[in-house]
Amino acid sequence: MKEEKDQTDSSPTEFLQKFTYRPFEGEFEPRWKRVLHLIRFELISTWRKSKFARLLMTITFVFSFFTIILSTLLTFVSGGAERDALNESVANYLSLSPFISSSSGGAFISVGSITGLGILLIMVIGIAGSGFFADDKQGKVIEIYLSRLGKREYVTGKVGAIVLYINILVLLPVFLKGLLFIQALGGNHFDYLDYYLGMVAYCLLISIIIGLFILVLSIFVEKRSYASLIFFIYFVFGSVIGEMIRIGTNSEILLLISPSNFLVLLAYVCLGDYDLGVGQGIFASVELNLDNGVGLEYWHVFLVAIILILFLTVALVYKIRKTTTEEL
Amino acid sequence: MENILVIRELVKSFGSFLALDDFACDIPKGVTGLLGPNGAGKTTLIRAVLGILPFESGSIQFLDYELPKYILAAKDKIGYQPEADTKILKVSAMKYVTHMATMAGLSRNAAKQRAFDTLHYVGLGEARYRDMNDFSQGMMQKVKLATALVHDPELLILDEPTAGCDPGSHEQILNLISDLGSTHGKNILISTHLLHDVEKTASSVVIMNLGKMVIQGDLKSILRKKDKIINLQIRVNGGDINKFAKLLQENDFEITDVSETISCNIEREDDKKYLSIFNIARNNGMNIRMMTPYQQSLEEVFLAEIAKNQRDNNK
Repeated sequence: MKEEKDQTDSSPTEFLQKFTYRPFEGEFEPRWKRVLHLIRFELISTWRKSKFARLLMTITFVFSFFTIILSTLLTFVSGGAERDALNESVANYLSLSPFISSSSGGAFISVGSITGLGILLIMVIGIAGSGFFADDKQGKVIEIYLSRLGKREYVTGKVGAIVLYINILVLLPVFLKGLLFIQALGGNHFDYLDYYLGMVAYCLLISIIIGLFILVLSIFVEKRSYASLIFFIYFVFGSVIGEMIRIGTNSEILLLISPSNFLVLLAYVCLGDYDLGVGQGIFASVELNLDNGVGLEYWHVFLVAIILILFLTVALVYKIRKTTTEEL
Repeated sequence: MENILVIRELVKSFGSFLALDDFACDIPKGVTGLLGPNGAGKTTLIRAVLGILPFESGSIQFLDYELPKYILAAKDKIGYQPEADTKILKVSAMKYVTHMATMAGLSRNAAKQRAFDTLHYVGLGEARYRDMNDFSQGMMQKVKLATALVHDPELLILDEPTAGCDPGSHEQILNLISDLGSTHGKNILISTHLLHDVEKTASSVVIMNLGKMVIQGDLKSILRKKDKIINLQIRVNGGDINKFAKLLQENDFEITDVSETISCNIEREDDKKYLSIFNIARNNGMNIRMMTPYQQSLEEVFLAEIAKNQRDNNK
């Protein structure tokens, strides 16, 4: 047992005389505000808990900063290719490698693929999100949370925190990049309203899917390190193996089994860009149209996204309802 | 006495194991000790009251709230100190208690003020900005108590509040519990293995075993022997104790033991008979230095009741 003599305030009764108990005379806040407090606390905690995550986040923000600056210089893009470049900058922001490009024919400079931040971002999200439940289990705080919050409020707070966190990492830089790029091109921002809305929809969707996935891992495994490792391995190896299977079978539908490709395709369908060229280099000859009634269609991508959200939500709710007494 | 918690026919099982078996009890206002051996179902009962574990059947009434229907409103009026050490990585005691205060519905500013107040109250004013992961067991118990108190609840549920404490911290926490109960009128339910803690702080007690209520009531009446015999402990001076014991025997008193004190049984119905003991002493030139009815310790009651309950279950 650690020495505590000097740390507590004196004798058994002295502090009782010095600091008497005072009743609380204020008012209680509405319940939704507690969820906001939990989101805020978790966001700050993700920064505080892991030095490695802090380092990765700093690198990510520095790279994002240069990408944003770079986007203001790309004024030579023209001939309708600017929209393709914008779409690709969103779609490839989280991809490990730009397997899928925005246009089947146009030559353009991809703003997104210049940085290749996907692997870093996935690592940061994995490290930060993996502790949301795993740390609570290890620190035995789930019980104390649930003595104050309902289970729904607790889970909502955690989901809200990870969704907000991912959007800070993804939506914010992508939005700024698009904004400055359009500004540099001298375009009217209102002409690009569908682009902005599509970008926001995409970021919200992927933050929910990735957020739920990492939270499910976090609540099912014992330690945060296991959850972040599984998340990273699944994303990287899943993407590589998924792409290899897709190439082997030459099936459009199987593009969806690679997490990286799935996120890219989801971005394009959210942005309303269905006429794509698949791959660069050796896959450049493959063309992909998501709205031609053959093979992979845009609604397949949405369907998979909805199924994933439903499945992960059910898994999360099931686990929080069935939390064992040891985990509390 | 008015009850703060009324529990009826509560059933909770984990697979085939029945953790609460038609459990029923009334927890009166004031400080109540919840006692039971390991696996008796104390923590399960507490978690059922807090809505952390759903129960299969039965009812819980907390103040005007029927649980679990109004569990969220009830949670605001209950402060809980769990048995396990609760820790959040790289967080000071002040931040932890402030955060838990916001979880209980306090605004940020109010939470900070209350965290400051309660940490000072439990004696951690000086250590409040230290990382609580470096705290000793006694300090952790105090942080948990401050966390339970921070939103000024109507009912405090303390699960093993002195577990792992050194004697100084142990005493401090018992003093805090007594102060909260007696001076500040807090209703407190203490679940503990340490019977001395209950004897020192509680006014009533609930003993449970194997998920069932064994005995409940106010502490004094439980400690009083309820059989037909009162056992008196007598000390004399001014003469030989053995001689005095013999004199009592000659006057139809039943002597059960003579050592430093004389143990003497009298019929409960004939409880005025003890007055003649003074006369016998005076007539023989002796003085009664002490005469007191023997009171059982809570430990004796606990062990006897648990053993009786086990026997009943084995029948």
